[in-house]
Amino acid sequence: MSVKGIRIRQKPEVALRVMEVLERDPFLGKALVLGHKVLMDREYARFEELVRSGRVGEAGAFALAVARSPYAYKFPNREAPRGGWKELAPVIEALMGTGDLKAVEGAIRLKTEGDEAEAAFLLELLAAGGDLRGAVLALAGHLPQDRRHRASEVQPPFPPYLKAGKEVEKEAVNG
Amino acid sequence: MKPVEKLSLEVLRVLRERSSFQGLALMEAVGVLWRREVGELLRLLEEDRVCDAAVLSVMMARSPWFHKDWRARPQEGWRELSPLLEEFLREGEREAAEDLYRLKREASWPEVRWLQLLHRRYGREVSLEDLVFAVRYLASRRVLVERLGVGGEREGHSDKAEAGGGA
Repeated sequence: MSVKGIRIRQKPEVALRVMEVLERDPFLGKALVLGHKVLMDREYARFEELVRSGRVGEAGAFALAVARSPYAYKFPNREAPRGGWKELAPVIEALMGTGDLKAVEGAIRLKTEGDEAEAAFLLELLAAGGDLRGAVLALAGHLPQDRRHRASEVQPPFPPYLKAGKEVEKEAVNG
Repeated sequence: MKPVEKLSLEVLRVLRERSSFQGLALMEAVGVLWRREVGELLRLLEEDRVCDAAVLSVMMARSPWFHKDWRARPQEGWRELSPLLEEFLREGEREAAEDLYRLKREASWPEVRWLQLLHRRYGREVSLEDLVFAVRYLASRRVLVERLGVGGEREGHSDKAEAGGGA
C-alpha cells in the first residue's frame, strides 16, 4: 500500500486568511491549519464560512472540537513519511531563492518532521502566492510546542474507504 | 596550510577512492588529535601507508594517553556548519542543503570539523562537487557512522576544549 501524495483544497482566499492569523497567533493559526486539512465536506463548509466572515476564533475552536470529536468523520492527519514530504521541494526552492537561512532551515525541518496539515498548507500558500517565509517561520517555531501538547492529533472515526485512517485517500474529494 | 587541513584533504581523497573505512578511521583524528599526532599521520600518508595511518589514527583517538579536543553537539545544532549551508543556498543545491541540515542536528564533532576544514579550502583544492559529495556521503551513512562510534566522546580531553576554545 503506497501512501498517496498531498492534495490541496485549492482555496486560496481561505489560506490567505489563515496566514494572517498565523503570524499573530500560532496556536489559533495551527488549529485553523489543521481544520483546513482534516474537516470533511459539511464541517468544512461551515468552517470556511466562519473564516471568510472573519470569525477566526470560532472557526479554530470548531476545527479543534471536530478534530477531537468521536462523532464526526474526518480526514486523517498523517505524519511525515520516512524521507520527509517530497512535495515540499518547490517550497524549499522558492525560499532558497531569497537566501534566507533561517527560513530554509525551517522549511527543511517541516519537510522531515511536519505533519500533513502543515505540508498541505504550505503548498496551498505557495499556489496562492502568500507570505511563504512568514508561514514557514511561524509553523517551524511552533512545531516543538505543538508536538509536546499533541495539539494536532486527530481522533477517529475516519471514513471506511480510508482504510484504518492511515493510508490511501482514494475517492476522497477534498473540498 | 595547517597539518589538519592537509589531513582533511587526504580523508576526502581516500573516501573518493571508495575506501570508506580507512577514510572514516582517518576522520576520527580530524579536530580531535593535536598537531604532533596529526603530523605523525601525515608522515605515514606521505609514505603511502594509508592503512597504517588509518589504524594509528583510530588507536590514538581511542587511547587515553593523548591530549584531545572534543566538543559536545550543542542543543540547537552545529552553528559551525551555517556558512557551508549558506554556500549551498547560494549555489542552489537543495538536496545537499537538506542533508547538511540533518548533519547540523545529528553529526559529531570530527565530522563537523572535517566539513568545516574542507569548506575552508573551497575554491582552491576543494570544488563544490567535493563538498556536495562529502555532505551526502556522511548524511547517507548516519547509522553506519554512529554505530561505529566515529566521533564519540573519548578519554584524554584537554582543558582547553572544555572552555570552548580548542581546535
